[in-house]
Amino acid sequence: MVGPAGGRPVLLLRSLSFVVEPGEILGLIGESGCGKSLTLLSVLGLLPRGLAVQAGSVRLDGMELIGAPQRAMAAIRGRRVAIIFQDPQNCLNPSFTIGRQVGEALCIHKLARGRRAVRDRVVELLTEVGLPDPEGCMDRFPHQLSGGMQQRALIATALAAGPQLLLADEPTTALDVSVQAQIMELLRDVNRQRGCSIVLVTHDLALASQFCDRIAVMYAGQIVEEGSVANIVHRPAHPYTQGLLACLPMLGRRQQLRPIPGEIPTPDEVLAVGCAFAPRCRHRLQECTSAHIELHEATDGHRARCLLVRHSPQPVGPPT
Amino acid sequence: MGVRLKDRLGAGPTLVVGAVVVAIFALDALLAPLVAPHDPLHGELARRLLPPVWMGGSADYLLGTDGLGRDVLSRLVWGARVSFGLGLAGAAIAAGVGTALGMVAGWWEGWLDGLLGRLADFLLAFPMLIFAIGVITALGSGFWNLILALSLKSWVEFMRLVRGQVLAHKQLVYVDAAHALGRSGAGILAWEILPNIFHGVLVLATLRVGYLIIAAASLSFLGLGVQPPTPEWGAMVNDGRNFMLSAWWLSTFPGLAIVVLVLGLNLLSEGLHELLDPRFRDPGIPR
Repeated sequence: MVGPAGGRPVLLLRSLSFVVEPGEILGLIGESGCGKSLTLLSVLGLLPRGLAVQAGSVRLDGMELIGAPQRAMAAIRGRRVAIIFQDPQNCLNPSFTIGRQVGEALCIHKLARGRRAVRDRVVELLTEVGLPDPEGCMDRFPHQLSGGMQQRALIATALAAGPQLLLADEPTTALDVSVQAQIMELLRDVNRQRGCSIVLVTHDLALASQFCDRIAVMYAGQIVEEGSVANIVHRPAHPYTQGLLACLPMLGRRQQLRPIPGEIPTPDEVLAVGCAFAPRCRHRLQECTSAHIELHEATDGHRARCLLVRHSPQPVGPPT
Repeated sequence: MGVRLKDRLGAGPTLVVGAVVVAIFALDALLAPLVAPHDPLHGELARRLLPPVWMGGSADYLLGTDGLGRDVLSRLVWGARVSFGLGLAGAAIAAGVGTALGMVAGWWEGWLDGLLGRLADFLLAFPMLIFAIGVITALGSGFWNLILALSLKSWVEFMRLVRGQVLAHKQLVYVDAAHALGRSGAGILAWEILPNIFHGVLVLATLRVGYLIIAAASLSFLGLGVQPPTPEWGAMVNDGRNFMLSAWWLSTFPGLAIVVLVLGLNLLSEGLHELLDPRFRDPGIPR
């Protein structure tokens, strides 16, 4: 549970829990403002000033991260868990060359000794992420690279210390579609070749369905559904997920888009009790807003925070 | 840096002219014992008040001699050490202290920032010379006291500059990215933010050297700076005051030296600003 430090009763994240298996790609889907980026930040203890984790736990291989001392967290950040932010242009320090920035994690975590060793390792990493002319790139500045190349460089920076888990916060949102595909393929290669788990945060359900093994859908600070990609896309159980799928324009079909009526609630508008989606839901029942709703199992590994699932574990309402 | 340096050196004469002028004075100050023809402290009373060589003076004393028979040129050359040295030392101390405090204030904010801010407001209320006169009256005159007086007030500007820059950069995403890689707070300040704001400090420092040279000269002119017989340009101007109509060269040359050096420093500062400011680096950079 994440809310303002000092305890004003507006929670930004609640009822959130998921597990990432080694080597798995988990997609965290949601629209703007649902709290997906905050989720990633709270894993690494990087919440902005004014927000704090009020309850809950984050465990990495059994080690508790919430409340861990700064020293321990600094040893984890970059080394075992790395995060890739959305806008590569702004993430790279404009005053340093690419080579120095990619090598930064190596230096911070003391993984390479001597300029020669660091340099060689950086060239390896730049080659791994598919940058043409890695030697030349090393001495260039961020503004001299295109968006796609910057993002590759950022990924190289994140991978430098060999993390077990990569948190990718909308890594391709700022990029063109063709470059998007290349970067996603790169991430898939990273996952396969290094065995690195990835949590992919995105609002693009189509993208997630192509690259992820499992998907968790977020709405207003809660996870409302999670399951394998096949289940989520073909047998969505939660009305919000169904609505999202119905919103997606389909190539080749000319039919009217069906938006979800209503608007995403701001953090203080979110219902304190019950399902946050209830005000916009066609199938809502009296009990939907009267008590906290747990995740109910629809089929194996496929769960949704919806009373309809509890009543009948088959999806109701028309999917796309 | 390598790529940018080559592109930009051809960009304008400001940097080059400024650098050359300052370099000449710097070399002169460093090599004073080799360059000065005579001892600046001892004069031949028999040869006092000689005019410059082109006005009928002697070739031994190119710019003439002063009231005690000391060679003006030699005193000018040695005076560079004193005046330039005062300016450099004062600016360096002010920059060092101010930058350190500015980083602390900008990064941690809170009560320390508030305290430093009020202290800065207090110091800025005084004009430089009044403040320096006060300090020197309290502590006595002399080279190091003079530097103390000058830097005690100058550090404030650096603190404000650095604090503002740190506050601005703190919000940028690359700081978060560095944090996410495992850097600590102090590490981020030193390795990520400081290199980005360093050029601002350098430009300001260059400018301040000139200002402090003038301030030091003014104080020496008033008799509160370095004491005789140490040659200092401001003191030399003062010494020549009584001879303005008869031996004008005594005040004019040190005055010219001050003007030219400070002008050179200003040009150098401007040139450095153009060279280093990222906004001039490449059109199309969002900053």
